[in-house]
Amino acid sequence: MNGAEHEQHEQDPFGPAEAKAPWRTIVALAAALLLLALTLYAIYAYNSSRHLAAPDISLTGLNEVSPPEYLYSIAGPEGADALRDPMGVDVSADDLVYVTDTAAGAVRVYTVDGDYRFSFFEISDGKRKTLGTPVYVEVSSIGEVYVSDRRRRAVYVFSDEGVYLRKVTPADADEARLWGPLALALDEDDDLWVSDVGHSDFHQIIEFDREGDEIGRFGRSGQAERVSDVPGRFLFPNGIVVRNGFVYVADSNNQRVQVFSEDGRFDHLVQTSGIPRGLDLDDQGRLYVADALAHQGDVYLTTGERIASFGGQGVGPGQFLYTNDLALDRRGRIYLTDRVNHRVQVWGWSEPPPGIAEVAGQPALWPLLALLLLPPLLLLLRRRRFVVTEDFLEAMAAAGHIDAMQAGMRWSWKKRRWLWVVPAEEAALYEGRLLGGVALDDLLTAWEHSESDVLDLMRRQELPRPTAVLLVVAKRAGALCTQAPALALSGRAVGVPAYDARRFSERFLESERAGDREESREGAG
Amino acid sequence: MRKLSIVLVAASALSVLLLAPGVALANFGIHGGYTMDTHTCAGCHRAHTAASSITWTNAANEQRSALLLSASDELYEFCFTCHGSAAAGAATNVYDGVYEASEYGTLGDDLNSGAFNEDVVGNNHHTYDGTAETAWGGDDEIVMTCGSCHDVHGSSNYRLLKDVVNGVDVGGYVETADGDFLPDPYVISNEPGYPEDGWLLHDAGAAQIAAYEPNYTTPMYATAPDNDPEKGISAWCAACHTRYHGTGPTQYDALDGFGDVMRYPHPVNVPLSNYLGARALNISNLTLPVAQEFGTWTAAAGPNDWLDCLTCHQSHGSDKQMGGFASVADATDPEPDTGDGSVPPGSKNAFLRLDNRGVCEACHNK
Repeated sequence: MNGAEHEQHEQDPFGPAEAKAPWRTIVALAAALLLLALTLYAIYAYNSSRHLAAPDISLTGLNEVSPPEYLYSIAGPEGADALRDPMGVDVSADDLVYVTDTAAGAVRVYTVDGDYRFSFFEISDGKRKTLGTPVYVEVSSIGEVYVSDRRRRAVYVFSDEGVYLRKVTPADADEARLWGPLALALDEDDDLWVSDVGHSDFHQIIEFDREGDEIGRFGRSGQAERVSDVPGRFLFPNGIVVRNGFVYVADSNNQRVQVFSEDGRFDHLVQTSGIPRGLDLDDQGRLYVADALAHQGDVYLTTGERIASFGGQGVGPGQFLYTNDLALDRRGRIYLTDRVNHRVQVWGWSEPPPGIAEVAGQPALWPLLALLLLPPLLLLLRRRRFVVTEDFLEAMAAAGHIDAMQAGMRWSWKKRRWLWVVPAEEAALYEGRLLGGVALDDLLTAWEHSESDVLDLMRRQELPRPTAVLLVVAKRAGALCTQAPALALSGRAVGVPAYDARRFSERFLESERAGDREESREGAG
Repeated sequence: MRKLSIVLVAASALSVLLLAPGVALANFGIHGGYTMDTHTCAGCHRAHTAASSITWTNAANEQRSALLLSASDELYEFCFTCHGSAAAGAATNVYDGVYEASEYGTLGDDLNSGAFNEDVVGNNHHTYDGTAETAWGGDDEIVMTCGSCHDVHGSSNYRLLKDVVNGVDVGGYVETADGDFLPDPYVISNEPGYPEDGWLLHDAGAAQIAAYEPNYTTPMYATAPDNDPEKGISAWCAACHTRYHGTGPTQYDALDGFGDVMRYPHPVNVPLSNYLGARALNISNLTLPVAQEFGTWTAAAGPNDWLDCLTCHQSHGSDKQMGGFASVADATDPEPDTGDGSVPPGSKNAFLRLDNRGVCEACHNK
């Protein structure tokens, strides 16, 4: 400190202590910049990894219940109508099993006992006469049979006897020419849900009403390096089931099942093994998944816990080679296509499976974001603290500002709240007192001091104990309000800005009034 | 300070909106661009408990377990789970040879590489069912599966073509002094965004993929890296078809009935202008795909473009029809190329791109 500055402080001990402590501003700015940088980094890191919090998935329940048992297979008949490449399967309400045979370009129909009934493949949509590559099949509540045909780029609708009725495509002609319908589902209203993989960048789910008019769509393509990456994005979704307000989508190449609300809002994930393809839900809400590469069927609670797996790899009864789709009949039996073994296998529970847990929302990003928001929020809500002396309070009361002191303790968008502090040792001095009509008990907050800091200050500054106590508390609060120049000077000597009543009013009350006046003028203008 | 706090709160709130997932499509999908914390390995493999007997071919041409989840004996069944007729897991229906999407090729068009489905191409396809065969022009018996030519996990080369085939280095990675691995490909492409230096490993490779726009229905072949005639697709194919890419004729028995005599192969990896016949090559409307220098691809062929294996042949299989002299002889025919010696012609088409010998006439215009 040079001589001129020293002289100025000799003359005016009050005022902010910025000159003595510029580091506080620097530290505050640095902290703010650091916080901002961390926030930006969090954005960058998240967008780079596209990573959400890992889902709460437990596999510990696996096979704690008896898994389903193999019952029999459906394959016949011999000859031209034999199953070659069964991909999709569904069971109608009147117990007919519809199977798409992609290699044959036909739909085969069996009884649930496996007796072959008939096949169908003829269409008449004005351009084509036969199915191309039928992949998935769904039967509606009124027995209409929906078949997705990737090659023909349409969902064809047949009667329960295989008579062609109509086709479903997007209304836009260009889109209808280019889309790639794959997975199918019908909800309780027989609205049709289709996964579209026709455009590599826009794998999506499209919902149509019974008339074939589009209701909505959601999703686009995205590759998940980790199971919780890019929720809401798909890579070749091969299975859909819609039930109880939720849409379950087998996001096959991302190796997971994603669950959405019916308006397409992501809800949670179910982690699967291998490549999940076909899906179904039973009346207890258990999720059944055909896993093409693990050669098995899996049963999950909708919370994500796998409770049973069945099947396995091989060519024998109860073994699969590349299962692809599954469906449940009204008795709860499970039908799975066994593609390379050229058959459909039928499985059933040997004993009642366990019930289900409540569907739980997925813990996701919000806790993390809340943590990020916490520091700036705390900074925003932090009160400005002043240690006050008795003479300052009396001076403020004499100037008519004691009400303003009390008003400053309340929340306002315009400024930070104030907190008036006195050392706990002096609290008794203010008990039960009224000043300018304000009860000081309500106005003041008592703070304890650190005895070691007090002793240290007394030793270093040769101060009397009451002054040292006051300054220790003021240092913690960040500001001192007093009418005593000597005390103010001591405060500034330890880096605490000091204000007397006049300077406090000029510094804090006048600026506030000026702001109010400006707002009034703007309002009047 | 208060203003700063408000700004910080606003910035943090904005971050909530910005934390939406980014675009993440990788055209290689499941086939590479892996990050260090990927989970995708577990989708296909089990490290210690794999029950599959499917093997892969290592650099020494030995078969080693692929540690796959699958138990089938045939790798193609595994691949066709996604790339089969239903194309349930891919846009490329490799079995039928059809592109099933619209973004990276023409929907419904034939794949550049052709097809495997015998209903489409008969027996005119590369063997893929695990049978051991000796390649035409080669010596070694090679187990032929999808994995004989493609590395499902990605490679330095175009279209996942392996870096080591039949024990021959045809691509790969070179370790630098600071421990990085730089690609040293044999086969690159002129497709938009294709990295001239080959595919990098790990995250860097994933970043390359983001800019890559493959074209599965229009061949956009490139000459070899640095125009090195000892590389390129022809050199890659010659890892098995060893005598089809050399500096001159070699003597061997091609199993065509002529016995162990000198054999004169058509030149490959040469500019079309190298031809000095009495009549110039007709390339003004050439429909065959030639290899063009990297970064200079146009739909029309030019004199500096290379003829290579893929100019005349499709790598997977072809449906083109051969008759008469164009029929490839059965190896047991005592009167080759005629079918008159009691053994009918093999009726194979050598995976040629045009009927009969249209590929010859396309350039030579006789």
